[in-house]
Amino acid sequence: MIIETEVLVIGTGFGAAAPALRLAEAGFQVTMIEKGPHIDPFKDFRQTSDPQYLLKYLKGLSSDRLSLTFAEALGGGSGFYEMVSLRAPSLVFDQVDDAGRRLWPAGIDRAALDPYYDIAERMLHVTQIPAELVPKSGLVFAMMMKRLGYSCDRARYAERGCVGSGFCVTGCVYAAKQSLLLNYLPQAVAAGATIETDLEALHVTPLNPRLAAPYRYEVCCKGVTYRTRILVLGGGTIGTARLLLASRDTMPFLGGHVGRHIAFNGNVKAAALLADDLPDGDMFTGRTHPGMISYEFLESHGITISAAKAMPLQLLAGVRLRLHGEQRQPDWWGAANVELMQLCRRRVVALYSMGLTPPCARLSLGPDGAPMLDLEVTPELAAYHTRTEDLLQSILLRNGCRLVDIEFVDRGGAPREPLGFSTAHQVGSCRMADSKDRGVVNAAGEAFDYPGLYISDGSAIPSSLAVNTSLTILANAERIAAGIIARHRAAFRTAS
Amino acid sequence: MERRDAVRYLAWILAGAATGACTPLRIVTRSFPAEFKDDPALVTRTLRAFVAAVIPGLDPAADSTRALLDHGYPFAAYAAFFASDLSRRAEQRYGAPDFAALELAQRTAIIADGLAADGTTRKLYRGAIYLTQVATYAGIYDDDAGCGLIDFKGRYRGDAISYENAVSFLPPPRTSSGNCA
Repeated sequence: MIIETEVLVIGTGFGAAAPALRLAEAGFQVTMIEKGPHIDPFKDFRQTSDPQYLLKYLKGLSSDRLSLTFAEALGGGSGFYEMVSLRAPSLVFDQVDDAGRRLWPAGIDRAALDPYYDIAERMLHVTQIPAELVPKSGLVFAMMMKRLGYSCDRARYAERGCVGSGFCVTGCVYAAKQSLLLNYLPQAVAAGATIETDLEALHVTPLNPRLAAPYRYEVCCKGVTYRTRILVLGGGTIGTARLLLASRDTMPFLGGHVGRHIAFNGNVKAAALLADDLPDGDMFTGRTHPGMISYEFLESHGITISAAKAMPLQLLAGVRLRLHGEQRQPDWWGAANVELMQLCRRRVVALYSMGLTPPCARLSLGPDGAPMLDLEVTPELAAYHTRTEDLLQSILLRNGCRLVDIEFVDRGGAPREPLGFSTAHQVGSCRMADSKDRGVVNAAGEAFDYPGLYISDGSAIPSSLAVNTSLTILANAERIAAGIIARHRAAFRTAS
Repeated sequence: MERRDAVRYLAWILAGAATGACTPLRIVTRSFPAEFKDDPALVTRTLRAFVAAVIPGLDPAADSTRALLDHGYPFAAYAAFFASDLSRRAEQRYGAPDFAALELAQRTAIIADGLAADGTTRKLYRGAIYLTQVATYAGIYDDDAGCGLIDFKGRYRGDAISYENAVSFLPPPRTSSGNCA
């Protein structure tokens, strides 16, 4: 079956929803396709630790040194994110590569994005958390920073009526978290867009010769083929790169940057038992992201620092926890582990940083078409990890806390390389750039040599952000959508 | 650990426990004592004693072995073999095959033996411990139950989320809105 549409948007997450809504509002015929399942935000979410439920929506991709998590579901990651919605600091846009060239395209900086951040914040009802709603773990973190003379800020969230249940990452059963299921997507449908779920885009074929206009694309899915004049790829950093890599046979002019330059916000973690003179935290209650962020070390170290909360499932998954200096054996199971787990809710604090690490991870496809991830840990990256971990541990130790050793384990349950990163903040696999020799799309999000093909998701973001990525991806998608409308509306009206 | 990342690890390790455990011929051919093939109660009793060693203090009335026997997870296919291996090691070390009848310290020593054994056995033991910890502490089978042992109440029950004097905890901010310029 072949379906004709004016605009095909692949994905339904932060990078896809804005173009779909804005183009539908502008009168384009818009079709969205989503690989993952449909979600009804008023019925389908659960406050649960059931792995079967979570694995239905959340997927992962890992190498020895880097583990990425992403959602495959209607609304993309928005159903499962922590709803932290922060603008990327200005210095983010000044990052340069090894040759001293700016990572972001000319003209794209915080000031350029601010009007689109405004739109995104209005759509998601982003507000700064009031002090009285900051979870206990966030307050304890803030107190620790205060005792050391460091600043700390109340963070911003996309929510209306949050009760602080602590189950942000399993989906908000109160529909308080402003996922895209509550705003962009229903508004896009109301404006005429259609959404198909459980439908994966497998391959893209340009239908016209190079540089001929109007350009048209054919997107093959299982059982259906779409033909479209404007193709917007919004399937995320993994999904979009994977699709384009799988389409290389029909898209020879894509260049060599697809799948490369993945940035990952350089997450580093540390945990400790609270000192006796510090009040209780609470790992299990209050927003999943516990309310506070410190920009204290952004200029000096290129990082932000937050506290972290985790449910038991997340506390245990892929790690062994043991008190530093624990002499009893066994130390990661048995009595010693039970005692530590009993302290986790109230007396353990966890810190994590997000940093301006370089875009140095890479996605490729194996012989069987399966995606493979690779991260070369350079001496600079190793030094960053050590430096950052030392800083986090220093904050804990100078507050009199006793460290908790976090040992990551591999799929066989064996200890992993100690120097590794895990994140859901991957960006940049099809990055924006000033020219084709440095990226996949231009500053307008349009693919070099493939007019009418746009990339509006995290894969276009060319650098780490040092803050959660969702708001920046959404703002950039709003910006790209505005450009698409400006460029194509007149042509479509003439043609029709 | 990214919170969402945790789920993927979970899938990995559960799968890892199973795939690694495929190798030994004894499992493939089911060549282990017949009583563990034919007596589910014996398997359950042995696994319950295993869980009690991994998580001492767990409510004895808890359905503690459900995850190890749940065919929704790969480990269940190897549960009977695993129970028989615990029994075999009990006999080797203490001259008594009834793992469940041993003292906590003895059961702990046997599990440690398994963790120090060959690679495949080690994976099986790690997987069993991991699945036990996750299932128990996270309360994966009942959204309401949680795990009383660690004060996890399952779904949200209206607990106070903050302190009344929250402002007193806060240092001076660097920004006026939470967004860094």
